[in-house]
Amino acid sequence: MKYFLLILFFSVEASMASAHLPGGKGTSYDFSPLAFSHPMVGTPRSQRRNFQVGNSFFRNPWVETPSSTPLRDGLGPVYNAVSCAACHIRDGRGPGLPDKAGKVLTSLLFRFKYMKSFTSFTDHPSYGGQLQPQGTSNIPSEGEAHVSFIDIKGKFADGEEYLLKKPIYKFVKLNFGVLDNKTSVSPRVAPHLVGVGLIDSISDKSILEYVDKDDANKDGISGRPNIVKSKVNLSRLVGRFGWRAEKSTLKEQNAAAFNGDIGITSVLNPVEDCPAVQDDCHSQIDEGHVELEERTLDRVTTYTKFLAVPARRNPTGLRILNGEKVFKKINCQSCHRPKFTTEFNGDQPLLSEQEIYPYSDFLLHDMGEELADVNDLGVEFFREWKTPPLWGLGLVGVVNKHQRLMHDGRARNFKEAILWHGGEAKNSRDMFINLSKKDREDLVEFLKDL
Amino acid sequence: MKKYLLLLTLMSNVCFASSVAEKYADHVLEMYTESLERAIQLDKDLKNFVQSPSQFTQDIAKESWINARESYGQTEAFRFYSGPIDSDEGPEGLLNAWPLDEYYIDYVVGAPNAGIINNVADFPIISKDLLIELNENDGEKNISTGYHAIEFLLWGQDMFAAGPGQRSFEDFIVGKTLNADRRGEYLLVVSELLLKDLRWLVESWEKGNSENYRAQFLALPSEKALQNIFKGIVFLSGDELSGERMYVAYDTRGQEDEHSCFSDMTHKDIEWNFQGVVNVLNATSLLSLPEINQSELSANITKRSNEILELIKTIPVPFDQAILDEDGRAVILKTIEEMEYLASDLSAASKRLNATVEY
Repeated sequence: MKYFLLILFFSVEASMASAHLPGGKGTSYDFSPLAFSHPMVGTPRSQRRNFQVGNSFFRNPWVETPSSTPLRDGLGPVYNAVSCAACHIRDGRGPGLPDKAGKVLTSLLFRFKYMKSFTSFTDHPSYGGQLQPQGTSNIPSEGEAHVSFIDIKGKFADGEEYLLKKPIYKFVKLNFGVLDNKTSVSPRVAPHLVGVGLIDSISDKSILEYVDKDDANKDGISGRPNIVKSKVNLSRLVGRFGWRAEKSTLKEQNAAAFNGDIGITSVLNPVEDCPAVQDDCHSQIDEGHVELEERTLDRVTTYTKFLAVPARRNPTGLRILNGEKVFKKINCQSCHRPKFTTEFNGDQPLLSEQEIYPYSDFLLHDMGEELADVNDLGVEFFREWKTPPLWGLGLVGVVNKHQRLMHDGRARNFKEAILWHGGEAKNSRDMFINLSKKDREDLVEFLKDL
Repeated sequence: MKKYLLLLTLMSNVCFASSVAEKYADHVLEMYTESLERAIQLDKDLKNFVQSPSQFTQDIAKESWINARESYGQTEAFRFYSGPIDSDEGPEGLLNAWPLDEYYIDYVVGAPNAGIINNVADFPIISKDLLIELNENDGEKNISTGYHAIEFLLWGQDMFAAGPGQRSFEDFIVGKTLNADRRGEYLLVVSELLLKDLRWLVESWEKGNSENYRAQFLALPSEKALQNIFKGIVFLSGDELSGERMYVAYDTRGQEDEHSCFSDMTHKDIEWNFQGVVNVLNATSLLSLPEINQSELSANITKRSNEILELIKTIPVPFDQAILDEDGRAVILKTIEEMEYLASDLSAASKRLNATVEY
């Protein structure tokens, strides 16, 4: 009997051990404010050096042309931020929203979709793919986004009250005309980056296993993949990067962010995001000249690829274990899928066949009206969000000194984030409302340990 | 008896380690104080230069800038553990921001009217408040203060292979050059801000204040304090200096990827930064902690640090040309490698001292 218990104990330990190391064997162990900034433990030297070069281009500001630093100039003409790190502060997550009504923070951007016909959507004819609130010297910015909040009050089943702050967006100082009712606006906050190389190493097949487009299993949840063409990997089809899984490879995600957010062109994104109506900006477009060299983009991609996921801090804590049970009980794992195994990759042992715990299915789900884009035009796609990974979220407080969550940072903590879930996640949310206070708090403790 | 002996050893370890933290705090304070003193001298020399611009006063100010950098460069071993310099209110970005958006400060080749200095309409008065305000919206505009802003205003753009930038002192003679008065004001305001930030760093480490960072640091469990000390030297040697400041330039072959690009003083920056690592080892005597005292590991760390100091001195000057020259590249790569090995050794030492820093 004793032996049996011992064996049981060991087998539990063995199966848990990997869940404690959410990022596979490269999982890191620094839990300080730099927790999101380390290369995977065991990163080979040549990769570590390229990681450093990439970090340099990720962290340091881009400057206006002309400058003494031609490898690092080309900022704008219109842009959101001067560097990647300005929004992904310490490789972490931006807060997005201010505590009080006013201008939104740099780390929140707004994507535009413009309705050409009932079935066809394009970038906005005057503003392009997103709002760039900054312009370089002598170039007008596009405008500013402001936010105010509406209180939404509610109660848990046990009578405890809660208060959500619903953001209402307003666009001011628009330099190229008003945004009419054919324009749908999608707010997006800068997420933390740990583990994106591992996500890049998941096969399409592994993600597609969980697809249940027509809800055949009748659980109310119908994840669907965002099928997108990749320019760099023709066999890759399933989007997984960006809040709506718009990009299927890390390299394309990085190139698109450089282009949209900093105004840096590359071979993958050779055109600045300012339509012809923006004379001053548009006249500076020079498609023959690419601001971000291919090898620099590759270095930045190496950098992001090797950013390590921090280990769990206290995975066997009693309350945390109970929280994990509650997580399953209220069905969070239906979308926040705990485990994947990455594809075989002979060149990169740290990324190859790793058992990882991102807590995401990387599929799109209808999240309900409250979370839909501003003026969603009745389009289903504009109410859908990719399940965001949960790994590392417990350290956002340490790294970024805030606990804001969801696609625009509207939730001020984990509890509010769960309460904001709607659409396909409404059942889970309702079960959360009905939990005991202790179970609710334990669930949050579990999330904080991820 | 054995038990007592063990207890004694344990106690002596604790005392030893905590005195390492204290020695470290004293050393940090000493280096920031020296940085402040030299920045005060720089401020005087800048005022003198702006009041009576000449080749002579400009040269004195340049010398004073180099002198100020020498101290500050060595303090960079106190970074990477969220201490005062890297804290949210921490002034690292304001003091040492790089690359510099010179176009945002003053004219550059091809843009004679660029910069805050030449934009009288939007910025009628150049003041401390203005520069603070312009820096406030982090990530929206580029930071335009710190050592490298002063460097740019003293030396000018480095458009020359053989040497540094060649800004003329006449840029500061009122009536001779457009906005010379505003250029002088800008220079002095940046210097004033530098003093303010350095003062704050000194205060954070000062003795006899129960509220400041020093008090917090000394109250940490000794392994935590030791881990912070190791983070500073492991990440400076293994990532920031060898990687960001040397390998990036080596890899891109970009003249711009040297940090003090206006003055061509990057070779000295490298030396001072690395000296900062050696200083920490010497000032704290952490290699003499019982767990590693007289070990092969400690001996290797000492030997390797000395070799690196010698290697750095053999890197050809200026650095922005050395990265293009085959012999120069070989020495640079060798130095980088040794710094990486040193970081591995230091990481191994941290593990033996129960203050693990992974590298």
